Amino acid sequence: MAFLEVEDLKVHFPIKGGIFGRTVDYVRAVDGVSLSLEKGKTYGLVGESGSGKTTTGRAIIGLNKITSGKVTFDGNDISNLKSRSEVRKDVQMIFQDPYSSLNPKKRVIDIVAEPLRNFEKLSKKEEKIRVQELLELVGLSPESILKYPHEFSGGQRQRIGIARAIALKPKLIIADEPVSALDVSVQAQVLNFMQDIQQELDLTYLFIGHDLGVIKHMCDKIGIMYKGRYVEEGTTEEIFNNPQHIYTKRLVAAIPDIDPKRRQEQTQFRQEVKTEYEQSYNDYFDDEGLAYKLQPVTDTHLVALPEKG
Amino acid sequence: METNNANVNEDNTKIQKSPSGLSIIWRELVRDKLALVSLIFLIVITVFVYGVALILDQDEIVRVDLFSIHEPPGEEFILGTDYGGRDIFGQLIIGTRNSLSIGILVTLMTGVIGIVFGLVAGYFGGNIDNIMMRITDFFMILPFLMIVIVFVAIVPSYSVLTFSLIMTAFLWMGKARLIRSKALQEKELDYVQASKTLGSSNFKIMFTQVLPNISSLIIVTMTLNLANNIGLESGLSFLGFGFPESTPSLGTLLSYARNPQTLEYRWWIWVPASVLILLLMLAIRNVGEALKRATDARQRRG
Amino acid sequence: MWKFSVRRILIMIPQIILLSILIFILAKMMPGDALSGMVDPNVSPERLEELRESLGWNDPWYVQYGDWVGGVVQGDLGQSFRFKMPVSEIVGQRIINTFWLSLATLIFTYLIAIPLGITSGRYNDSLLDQAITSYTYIGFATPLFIFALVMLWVFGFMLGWFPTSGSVSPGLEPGTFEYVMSKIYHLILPAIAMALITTVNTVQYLRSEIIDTKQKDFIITARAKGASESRVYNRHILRNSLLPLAAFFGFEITGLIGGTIFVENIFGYPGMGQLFLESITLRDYSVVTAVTLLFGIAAILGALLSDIILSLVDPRIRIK
Repeated sequence: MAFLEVEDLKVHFPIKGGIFGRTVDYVRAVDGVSLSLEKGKTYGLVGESGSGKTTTGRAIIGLNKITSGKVTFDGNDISNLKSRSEVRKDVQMIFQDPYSSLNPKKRVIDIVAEPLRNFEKLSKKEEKIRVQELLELVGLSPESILKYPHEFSGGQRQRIGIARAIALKPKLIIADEPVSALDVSVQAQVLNFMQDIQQELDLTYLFIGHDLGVIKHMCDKIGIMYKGRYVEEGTTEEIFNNPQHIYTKRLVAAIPDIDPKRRQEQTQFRQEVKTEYEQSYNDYFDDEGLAYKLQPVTDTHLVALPEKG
Repeated sequence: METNNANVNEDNTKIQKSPSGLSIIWRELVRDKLALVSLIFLIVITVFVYGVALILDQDEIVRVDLFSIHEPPGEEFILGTDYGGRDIFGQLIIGTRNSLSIGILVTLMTGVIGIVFGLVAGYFGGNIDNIMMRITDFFMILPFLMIVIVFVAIVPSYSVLTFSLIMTAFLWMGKARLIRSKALQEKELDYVQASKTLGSSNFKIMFTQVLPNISSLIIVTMTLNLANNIGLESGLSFLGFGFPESTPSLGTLLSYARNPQTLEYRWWIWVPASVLILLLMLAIRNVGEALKRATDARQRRG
Repeated sequence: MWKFSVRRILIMIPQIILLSILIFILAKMMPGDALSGMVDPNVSPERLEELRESLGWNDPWYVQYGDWVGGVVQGDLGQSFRFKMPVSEIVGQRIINTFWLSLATLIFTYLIAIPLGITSGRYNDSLLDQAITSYTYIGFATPLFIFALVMLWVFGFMLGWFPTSGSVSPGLEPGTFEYVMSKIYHLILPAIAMALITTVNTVQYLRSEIIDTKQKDFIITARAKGASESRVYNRHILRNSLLPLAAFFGFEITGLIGGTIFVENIFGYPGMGQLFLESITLRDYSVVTAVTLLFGIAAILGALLSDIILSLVDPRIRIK
């Protein structure tokens, strides 16, 4: 049994309509996603906006109600609210927007100490020391505990968010596009820092993102989502060197390359992929434009292709 | 990014404390001349009225004295007397105190109901919100004045407390709606989601995370409400459905003007009370509007 | 549009039912029989016990409620104990007066609001605008009853320009020219007093609406293509800013209900508000019940009207 195991996860949102506001249909935000993640590894969940990657992450941590499917963490079923409370401490989240994820009316000490106050009974003094240690760990000045979030830059705020997430020494962190709201110059700092604390605290990451460069840098295993379903899953190696699905190919082809000598080659590759995409779209997606069921290519590499025969 | 690792645990004198949101609002308010004058006026009136009312004997003031009916202002009675020979100035002091007290009481009670109702409806949303808002809509649509008057007329053992409860029962809706719409926006923000993942209960999130973010809005509306409530109370007392005559309010003094003789010839009975109500309402409004501007400015600075 | 209106009307039905239940409960709490008005509110408890059966008070509450609603729907509002006549007749006499007072108030409200709002919005931050803004600011803080008292004192008593009570001079034959003029004459002061206070919301609204619209792109476009200033205002800005005012119309009705109680009382004007206060003081509870019910329904209809007009004017609301 893997450390985090998601089986056939579905999250559907009702659409209300008509005079009486009845449910007329559902938005299938996540429609049958399965993934498994080993301890100490980083799993990357990739997709365009609206593909359901964030909803998947939020459903795992319990922010979105699971319609059906099963989530097991460290051997515990955490699919419903009751069973989740025991592992609440162990699963934490880093949010995309460092501006709205910190309460603007709270001082840094109150923000970082919030989880401590919920789970650990510390005296005021102990709490302050812990918060200062955490701030130091994420590279912020311990003197700033009485400041407000708006006095920090985006990167600093994201570090506050990380300090808060690691305060309870969690085992799994769901990082929802943690750097996409930051300046490119700060992104690398935060990412490297996240890798450092992964080593230091033996963390497991579920890394959600759309920037393949970032994902390649961070992840051991990658799942690619499209319209609520997986189109391909595999190790980083497999996805980047041997993409099978046309959607993955397009994503990989779109990664910019800074080497000017290879520009010609790149353009040609992109052109090829584009032609293939236009010609064979119908082979890769069903009548509704959704992905098919996953078929194994190797032990670790799965692709959504129509069943043959 | 500063990584100053100076003695973290021992040397706490270095910690920089930023001013809180409330202290910034306060600074802005004091900078506004009109609001400052209004605020000082309100404080002076309040202190004066509550202070003097301690010395004044209320029973003495409301006792009928048939030898000094309708005395115009003079040496014995600074502002003259009413049809029962009662001192207008004393009634004005006690009346202002009573009007202020009930205004504040009703504002606080409606505030608490509005906050709880609005936060719960806005935070949970969905069917809870739907049902709660339908209830609010219904209360909102009732003809306030008539329903309150009917209640006042038929409620047994009528007292100042029952009066303020009746007013509260039909005045909480505006705040509930306002706070609900603000809470709806706030709960979508990530800091609320973050609190959930950090293990805070819904109750805790509502009152310790969301509430501080709408506090400035609450302060502004409650201030403006205070003016309204004083106006409503004096209006009801004016019609004879507010305070009992043994507990004069500013409206009680005005109600004497329903007698055409008093209105036409005995201005000293009702004009001072009118002027006082007007000044109170303007002053409270000035403070409220200044608070509104102050909280806006803070948002701009963000 | 139709879907919205149907939904909105469906919401109104439970509101009216709730209102009637609330008033039914209130009436049951009143002494005597506040629904039919057949019993003296001051009757002794012993006599009341004897009457219980004949009044149907031993029936379950829903039967009593049903009887009452059934009667109301057919126009039977019970008997007035004081006047010894059907409540519907008394109400019929008074409601006309209140109708004219309300109409006059509405006319004055818009007569004041539209020119002031437009001036204030068009020439914002000018001296004139500052004067108008000060008026609305003070008007907003002034309780209606104090203002009405001052108006009556100054124009009714001190200057003697207007009558100080009643709705018509006594001794005039209904239907004659003098009668109508006297009616109008009696209306003017209370209506202006009420309008001057209630209009400030509308003035403020119109002002900010015009200032907002002034800066919109389509106005800049209109100017750029060479439209004259008066054309810009009359054809472009006013069309956009005045429409939402229509939506306030329904809410004005709700506001008038509270206002008439004060104003009719102060000016001794025999309308519904006056009737309501008289009846409650005279313990004529069947009239109280009827008037409360009618005003409550008027408020509900006013809100309905506003919402529907608003949905006509602003398509965004229809979606919800």
